[in-house]
Amino acid sequence: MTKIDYQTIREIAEHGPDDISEIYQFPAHLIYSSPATLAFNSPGAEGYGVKRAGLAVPESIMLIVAPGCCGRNTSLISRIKGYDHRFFYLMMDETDLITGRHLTKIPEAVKDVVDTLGYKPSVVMICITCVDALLGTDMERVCRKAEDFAKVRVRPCYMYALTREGRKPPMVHVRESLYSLLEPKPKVATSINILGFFAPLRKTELLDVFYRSGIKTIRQIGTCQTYDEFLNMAEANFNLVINPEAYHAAKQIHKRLGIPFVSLERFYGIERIHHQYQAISNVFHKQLDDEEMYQKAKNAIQELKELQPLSVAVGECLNANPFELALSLVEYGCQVKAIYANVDPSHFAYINALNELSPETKVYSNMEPTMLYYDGGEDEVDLAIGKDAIYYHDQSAHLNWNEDMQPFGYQGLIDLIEAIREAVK
Amino acid sequence: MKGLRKYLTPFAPDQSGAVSVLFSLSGLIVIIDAGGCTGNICGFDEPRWQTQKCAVFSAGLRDMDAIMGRDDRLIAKILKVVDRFDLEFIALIGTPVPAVIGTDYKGLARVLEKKTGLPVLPINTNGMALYDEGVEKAYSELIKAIVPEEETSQNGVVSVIGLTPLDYTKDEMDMIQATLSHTYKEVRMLGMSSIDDFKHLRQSEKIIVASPAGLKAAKLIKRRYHIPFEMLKLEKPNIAVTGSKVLILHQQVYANAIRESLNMCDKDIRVGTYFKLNKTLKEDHDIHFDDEDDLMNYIKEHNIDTVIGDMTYQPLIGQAKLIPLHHTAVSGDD
Repeated sequence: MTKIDYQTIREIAEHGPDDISEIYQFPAHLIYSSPATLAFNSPGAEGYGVKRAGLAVPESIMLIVAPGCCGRNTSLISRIKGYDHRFFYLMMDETDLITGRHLTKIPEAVKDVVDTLGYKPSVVMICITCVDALLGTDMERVCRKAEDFAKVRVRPCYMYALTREGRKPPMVHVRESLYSLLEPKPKVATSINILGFFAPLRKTELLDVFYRSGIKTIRQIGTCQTYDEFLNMAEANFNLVINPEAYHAAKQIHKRLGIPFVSLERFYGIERIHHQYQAISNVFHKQLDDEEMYQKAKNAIQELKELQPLSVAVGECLNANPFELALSLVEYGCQVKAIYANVDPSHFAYINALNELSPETKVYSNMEPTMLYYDGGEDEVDLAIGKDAIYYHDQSAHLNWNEDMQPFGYQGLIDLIEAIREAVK
Repeated sequence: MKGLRKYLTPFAPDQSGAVSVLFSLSGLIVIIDAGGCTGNICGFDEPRWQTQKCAVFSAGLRDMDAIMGRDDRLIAKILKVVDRFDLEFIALIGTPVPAVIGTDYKGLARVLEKKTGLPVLPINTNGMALYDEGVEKAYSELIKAIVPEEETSQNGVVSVIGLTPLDYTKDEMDMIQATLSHTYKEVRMLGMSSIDDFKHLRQSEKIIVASPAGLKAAKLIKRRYHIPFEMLKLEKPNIAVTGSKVLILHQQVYANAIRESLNMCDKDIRVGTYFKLNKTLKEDHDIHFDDEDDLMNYIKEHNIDTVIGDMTYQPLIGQAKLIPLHHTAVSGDD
């Protein structure tokens, strides 16, 4: 029987952020493919990958210019409500690879697609993939040519899996591309945007907190129904960034449209949520009142404590930072037996805190080759949270917690606890 | 416009075809990609992946690996895992990235063979060709690397080649196996159970070919080992055809088998395919399509009133009636 490679929280903490084991480093090993890694290998297959994200702008369509294999799973997305007949393909062949001929066909292909639609889309996103990354294609220029020829806005988006861990990974780039469509507008002091995800936030006090402090309009790309509504995001007084992947886009918006931004993090630890609201209050020199929600969240935590003892496995295919979530659950009395996630230096604040409370928690990397032999048997738990954790623990109570609409703040914590209670019932 | 798809999503690519042949054979399958191709192959084209464990890996290429041609790193990653698994072979599956940088698959295979002592199958797929190309290449490499020179045939053993989940559902495979079992003592579905079926391929008294992608391998087997082959016949399907001019859209052997089983002399039944159309298996009016327009124009020009094919063809066939016939290589797992 092959031994599964993993480390405990204690071992990871002892080695520190400068000596992370090869277990958790992609370049060091082959990447195992199992249903637990699908979201990593093929982000478009679940949730929002580049293709689905590229269509976040209302009334837009996408032309995928790539070898056939890159567009293969797109029919899965086309089956989702709102995406039917929005994807089109210009398939590359070997001659295109050698000569770059496909680039000259794009303007005509855009026009052909737009003529077929019978309406003018707000924008045509051109999605290109790894081969054009290697060919060094200047897609901005190609898009300008296509705009002139087809008389429609054309923007690039880059599905470059090759640059996933680079300075500007595909999911960062696609946000920049989308928000580059915004044009300068007069600022409205009572208007703000939330940048981060493509689907809207679930019900959260974050919005109420700002409404109560005088903000009248809060826009998210996922709530914009029309292109004009999307363009109104340019009138915002400031942007709230709730996902680090939107940070570059926010910086670009600041530079181009003069809209400043504030970054927030999603936490499930009640005191971390509270401290973040206090920090926002300091930034805006205005006391944001979170007392009522703080108490509600405390009550929810009490309900979770009543479920103890509860052993849990936490994955990374969920709407949370797996280490922050694991820490929060341990703080609320759960026994977190296993975490399925890769470790990077940004996780160490949580890992060090976990080391104080739950040092023997095992940390597995879904992608590590020996996971071929792992079936969760030695880490039996009452509850698995996250799609990947569920894959290993199909006999345990299940909680996906990876829906498109994003939880946030105290309400996110309350909803999570409610979902846990439902799952283990 | 050539290559433009307005209604159909791209069909299963060659890399998916290759993996569909190798999936159940206890090999180390290394897809030389950045991750996305592996996601597509496993998550979309390989139904067994959801329920059956397989040593299928992405090479996890990154831009500098491709730019610098760091094959040594790939070799090191593979060497790191070979001792930890019980492997029959290593397969290197090509994708668009190695196609662009001109990866020397055969060179990689030679180095790995020398270092591991395992057979290494270099499969130079590129993600631009269709699945049947990949199926063909995988069979060819398997036969070259795995089938022993010495072994004699046994009466009553038949092997089916060209049968993959991209063409046949599990139920259809079970039906084929059951039907052949009436005639043969032992029916081996090559690529669907164990590598032993290839190791003992020479025990077969006959090869049954289930798709054009298996034909080249069948010919190779005949040439090398003097084992004859014949094309698959299907049981009469439960299809009621009312029209008079019918086009069957599928892979050629399956479509031919449907035509034969329908056995309707009073109707004009043609086979059309986006995949391999073998001259020796085609009838006069059978046709190969490349693009969406080809099919749309053909339906119009030839007054086709009935199409038997995958549901995704619906927007292309105008007023013709569509009789659904699922094809995983076209629309994905049912």
